[in-house]
Amino acid sequence: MLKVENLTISFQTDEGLITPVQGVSFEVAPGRTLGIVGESGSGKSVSTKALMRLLPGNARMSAKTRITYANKAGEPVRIDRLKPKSRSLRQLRGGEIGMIFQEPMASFSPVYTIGNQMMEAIRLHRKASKKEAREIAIAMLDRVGISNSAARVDQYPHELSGGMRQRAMIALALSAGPALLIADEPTTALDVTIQAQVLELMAELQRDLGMGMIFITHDLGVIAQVADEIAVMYLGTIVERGATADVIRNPRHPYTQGLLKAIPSLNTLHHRLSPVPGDIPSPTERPTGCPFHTRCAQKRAGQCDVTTPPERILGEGRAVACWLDVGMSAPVSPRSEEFA
Amino acid sequence: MKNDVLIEVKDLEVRFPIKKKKLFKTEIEELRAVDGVSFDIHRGETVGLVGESGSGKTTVGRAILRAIDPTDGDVIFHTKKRDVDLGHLEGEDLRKFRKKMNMVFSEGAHSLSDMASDLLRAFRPRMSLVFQDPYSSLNPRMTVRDIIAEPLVAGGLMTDRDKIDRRVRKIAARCKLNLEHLRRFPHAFSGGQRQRICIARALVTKPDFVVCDESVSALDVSIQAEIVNLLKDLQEEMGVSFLFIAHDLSVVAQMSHRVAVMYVGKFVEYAPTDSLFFEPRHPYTKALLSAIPQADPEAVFDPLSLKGEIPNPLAAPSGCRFHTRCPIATEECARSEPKWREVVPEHFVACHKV
Repeated sequence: MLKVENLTISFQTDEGLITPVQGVSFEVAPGRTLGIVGESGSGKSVSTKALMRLLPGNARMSAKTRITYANKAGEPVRIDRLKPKSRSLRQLRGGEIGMIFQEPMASFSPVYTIGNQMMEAIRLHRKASKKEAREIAIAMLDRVGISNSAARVDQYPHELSGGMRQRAMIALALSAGPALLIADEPTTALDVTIQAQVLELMAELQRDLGMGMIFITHDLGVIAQVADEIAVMYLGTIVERGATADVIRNPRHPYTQGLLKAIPSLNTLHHRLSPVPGDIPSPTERPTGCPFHTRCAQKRAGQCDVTTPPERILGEGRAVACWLDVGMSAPVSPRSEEFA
Repeated sequence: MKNDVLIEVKDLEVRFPIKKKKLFKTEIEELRAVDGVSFDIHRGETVGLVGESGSGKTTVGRAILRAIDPTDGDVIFHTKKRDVDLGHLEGEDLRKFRKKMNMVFSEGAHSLSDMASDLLRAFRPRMSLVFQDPYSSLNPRMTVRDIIAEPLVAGGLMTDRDKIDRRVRKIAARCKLNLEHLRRFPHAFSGGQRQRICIARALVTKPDFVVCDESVSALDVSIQAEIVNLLKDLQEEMGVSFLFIAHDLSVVAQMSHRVAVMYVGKFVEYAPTDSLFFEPRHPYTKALLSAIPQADPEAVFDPLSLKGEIPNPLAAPSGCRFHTRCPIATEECARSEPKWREVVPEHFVACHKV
């Protein structure tokens, strides 16, 4: 339903041109969940903002980028080609693709009631009178498990607790009936017990509505529970992808391996944690070659720090971009020439 | 280590007055953020404190440091020479005492330079919101050297520049910062490096006790592991005690010798780490543990779902505070408050059903 090819985004900044996302490709199928994992600065949020064309003014998408989306009527839409402020783009935002953000307080307007904001979205995307929209809003709040929804609908965001607000945010995103939901760290700010409730709710809604979902998080524990496929991002490129169970059980990229080992677990309580050494380079000082070579324990000098490893397909939807997996004699890929 | 108690907290209570303006009068309600908490921390020990937001864990940490004045109860800091009751310390004595303790807030203490003139006043605003952002806790106009030296200068511990430099370099090296780093400004550092600067700043005065309030929560997993290891190493080298406050149970398990679980201003369970995580007694602890998502596709993720959310401490439930969400609550739980008792040695629980 959504196909992203070669997504490259650059920002014109005072310190020169930085490229936080380089040649990212992924697909989302209806009813499936793609999990995007990565540390801060890996470009995961920027990539998904591009899908809604919500990038700031100084951002440029490369000419090679193709974002194709099949809308509810089954027609393909080239999101990257839509004119800003066009009617079809407005239809897409909210109506076709919904988005949930990490901080619900920042995504609600504090001066309007929850109901008011939901009704606005409903009336923009569906033919409904004010009264009908209000009923839809109340039903939606009920659906996400907010008790006493008829009263809650007239409350302001600050009157709700954190978990409630995140539920209301989900209700808001779903009220316009999107076919694809982008959830950008939806549970990061929540307590574990509330997180469990919200994850359960999202899984249930997805099952019932058959939505496609992109779930962005830095928490591998969460992703293991919600995603069907995973894409691991590091410094703006996808270094490994595949079915969730496969990636977690059998990680191929040293970065994925490092991430998995760094998670504190109750099973290894008395062992020392093994961090991934070093720090994430800043996007202005992007390393040459493999982006991970500065922190990789298995790097091969003269290869990893010179050329970008190509993405090698290992099977159905499974791929890894690492020289260790390719072998020394592999030819230079077209991808690395592109960015040389 | 057994008898080497450093900090003793007895029936600690912190109540905040909440003013409600009515037409002709102002009504004052009391919010009991911490409601009778007792525990102790040994020298060189890490005590973990977990709980949902609003449970009062940060308030406990700050009340111990006298960043917030406790309303009732005692916080006793056992020095080698004499015992000092922190709950009743005032003025100059309090100021002198602060030097011995220090606090790494979630992202390191806020600009310590403001605290030089009047430590007490600078600590007093409840600053938790300011510290949500890891990038706002270091003064951008000060070099890293000055930031780390600040507690020494502000507390008047040292005046000789060379001496200060020597101390700063030593602690910086322990926190894996090199000489080159000391000349730079905070903007040049990543999140993990900034946290190491904050740790160096907290430890430069060689404190006996450090409160780490969500110190690793804002970091990426790969960096988080490194900071946890660093804190453990420093503890071993310097014998410092930590009160490690976090909402992430797996990190707390990794860091702590003993762990306390807090719910609406009270401890519900307190036990050595292994005992708490592998033989939890309280239904709330059990629910918390089951809600941690494991990075293992085979692990069955079936959280014991708790109804609703943490109650408003202004209207704390009667009897056992957890009874409104507890899966095994009976009528008794709503009526009477469970006693805090030791079920097996060193394992404390407050629950009627255990």
